[in-house]
Amino acid sequence: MENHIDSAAPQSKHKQPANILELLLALAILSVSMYPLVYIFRISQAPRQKTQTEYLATLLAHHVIETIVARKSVNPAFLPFMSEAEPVVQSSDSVAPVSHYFRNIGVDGENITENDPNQLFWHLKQFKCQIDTYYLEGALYKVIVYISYLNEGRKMRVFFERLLPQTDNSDSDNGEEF
Amino acid sequence: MKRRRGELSFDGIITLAFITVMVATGLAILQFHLSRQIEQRIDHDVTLGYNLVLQNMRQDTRIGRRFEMIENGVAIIGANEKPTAVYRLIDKALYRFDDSDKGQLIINKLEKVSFRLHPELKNLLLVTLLPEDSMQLPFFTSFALRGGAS
Repeated sequence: MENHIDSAAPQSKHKQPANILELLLALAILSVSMYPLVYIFRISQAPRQKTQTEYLATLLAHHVIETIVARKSVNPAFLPFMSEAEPVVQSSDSVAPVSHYFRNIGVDGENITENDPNQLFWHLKQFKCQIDTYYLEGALYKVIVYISYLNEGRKMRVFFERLLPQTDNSDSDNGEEF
Repeated sequence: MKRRRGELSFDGIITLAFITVMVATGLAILQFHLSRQIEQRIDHDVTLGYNLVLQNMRQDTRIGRRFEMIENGVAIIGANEKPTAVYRLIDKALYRFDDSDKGQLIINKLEKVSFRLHPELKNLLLVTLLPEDSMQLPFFTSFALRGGAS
């Protein structure tokens, strides 16, 4: 009986720290083995969705950049000029001119108005388009397209940048034209 | 005297860890499988379908040289006057057809699709997509032909 008690006591002393070490080891193995799974889970998930307004603003900025690319393709000397924030649709409650890049793009060949058959007016009414330009070294020209809108009273902006080559235009008086 | 210490053996812990890893693997594979099912994702969020339109049209216009309006769609003509891709609205869904004539569903549940050339620029395509659900975001943007130039 005494022998039994004496032999059990030191065994218990040795077992306690061993169990904690084993537990930590198991947790470490589990953590390491979970990392690739978490990685797979992350890459397979859909990217963070922007708000719908921000998404539409991105599409409009894309439209402006593509218009500039198309014009540059037709006329290599073309360089867009700067503009203030201008509306993208023709609204009866505003006298501000529609942004150049959104003129005459309605189905009827006019500006997008409230009667637009594609029902775009109310979706686009909140946006304004502004263009900033910079001359850079290396005969480059930088265009920044800002699409702005209000979100809960805060002014939000989406912007796209594009570098354009400054083609020598000796036939024209200046490099900016539409 | 209670002695709860050491109730779970090392083998038990390893077994539990193994089971946890297996379950997590199953969930990750399921998630990956669901993410590959485009139609299901399009139903879930209209912007996913719009992203597909953007990706495909940007890729096609990069090598396209000319737009050709066809019934219920548009063809992007590349080199040798061969269509690079054809976009066509069929049963309120937009499909993309390429050389293999194998139609790829881009986005469904559309009320209206409009492909128009810019009034001044014939190398610029204006694309408007209106979803069936009028509360959803419409799609409006443009695509310029690069013709392999840039």
